[in-house]
Amino acid sequence: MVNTPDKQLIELFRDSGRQDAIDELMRRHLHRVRSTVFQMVQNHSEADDVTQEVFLRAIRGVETFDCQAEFSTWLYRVTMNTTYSYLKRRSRSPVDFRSELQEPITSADSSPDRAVLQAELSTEVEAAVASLSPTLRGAVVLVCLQGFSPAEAADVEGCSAATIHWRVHEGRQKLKRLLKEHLS
Amino acid sequence: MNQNIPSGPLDNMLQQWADERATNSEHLDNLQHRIVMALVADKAAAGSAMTESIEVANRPTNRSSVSQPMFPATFHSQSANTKRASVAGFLVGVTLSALFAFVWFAQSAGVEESPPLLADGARPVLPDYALLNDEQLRSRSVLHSEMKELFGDQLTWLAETHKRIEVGLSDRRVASGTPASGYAGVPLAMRVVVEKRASANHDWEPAWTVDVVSKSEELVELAPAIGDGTSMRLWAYAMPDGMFAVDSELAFSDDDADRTETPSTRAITFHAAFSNIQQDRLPTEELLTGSDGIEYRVLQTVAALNKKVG
Repeated sequence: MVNTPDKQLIELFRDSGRQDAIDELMRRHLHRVRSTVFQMVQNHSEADDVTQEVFLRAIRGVETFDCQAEFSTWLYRVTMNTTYSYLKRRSRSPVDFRSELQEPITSADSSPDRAVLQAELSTEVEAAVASLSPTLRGAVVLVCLQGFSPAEAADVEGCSAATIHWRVHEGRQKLKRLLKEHLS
Repeated sequence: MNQNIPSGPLDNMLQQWADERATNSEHLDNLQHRIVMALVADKAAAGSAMTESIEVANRPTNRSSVSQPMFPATFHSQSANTKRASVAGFLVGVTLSALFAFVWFAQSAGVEESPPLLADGARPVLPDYALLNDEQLRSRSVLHSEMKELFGDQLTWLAETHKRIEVGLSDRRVASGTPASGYAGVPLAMRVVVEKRASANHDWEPAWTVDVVSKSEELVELAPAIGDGTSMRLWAYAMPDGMFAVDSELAFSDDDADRTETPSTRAITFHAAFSNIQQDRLPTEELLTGSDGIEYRVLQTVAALNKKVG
């Protein structure tokens, strides 16, 4: 099962209802999907909720998956669509969803001062990423953090590679302006 | 044309932020369990009877054909407040576990078991540990009363395995209205036991047990925890005729098995959903074969708490 390609696992699930095939797919993709969602929504409990929704949607819709395509591309398309829908709902809500306290960031070998500075920097990076529009943020997350090539990200987002190039460029410019103190 | 050249310092800063905010493998493991449970619930709600990665043998004859709603409306819509309350309740529950475990076990010690209430003499006698006798119901009633004093109407359920006690709290107020039956509002005691055996030549051995006290029609949601990877959802409804509709989902992880996987790759031995109409204190049994090839048996007992011990 560990060496079985994604598409074969999908077929196993579709043809014989093999739940272990889904377990294996989840094991392979959960970490990356969840980190993508977190980088978009920036709240751990919300990231868990959205990630669950992603997998529920994906498995409910697995019949529609075209095995000629890459499963990972399809799954990340579901991921981004679900996340964008969530962000849209969140933007309409009067509740401050970003009020979750993040765990303090420390490492064993760092001094307390250094840890505080690091925590402040992370908070600023987070605020800067959050200030990007969802589409710019999506491009930056996929390309800069998740390692997708612009062409792959374009497949996920359903746009041209040039559009992704432009979004990443714009996102980076904005982040550089916001974080210039730390980049100098 | 914009050149998408990696922006070294900026990308490094972003990556460092992402790494710091990354979740750990234990969290992912729990999340995977949670998603699996949601998938099982999704399937169950869609009307598929059961079984994920399992083979079902000797399907019990007491599976009811009575049409009942599979789960209450709260099943998929438990509020964030309720979930947070559950977490807070869990912490409180852990703190209080030593105190109440004393009450629990002191009252359970040396108790004579009631004879098995099996109506059908042809059925095998089920083990005592699957049953709920008078004394055990009394001790659960005491525990429930103690917890109720602490949490008031917010207390919706409490559950105990051999490794933890967990309580479910809600910010909802108790709804007023005409009781649906003589059992309405009466807390229910439930026991779910998972047994295993290597083959038919071996005896059944208990692998996991949970005792639950909950209100009728209350969803009990037991998430996997450190050292206890099994998760469960349980919902019981006291029917007007004195029977109980019980829906349960179980994602059982055999933590005692000799495994080489890391926590993030730990497999679920089986997950299954059951829907039964059952009599007071008469256990149901479900036979399964887990992904490890071992036979499993799930015994589920329900009783109206105060009705029996008031």
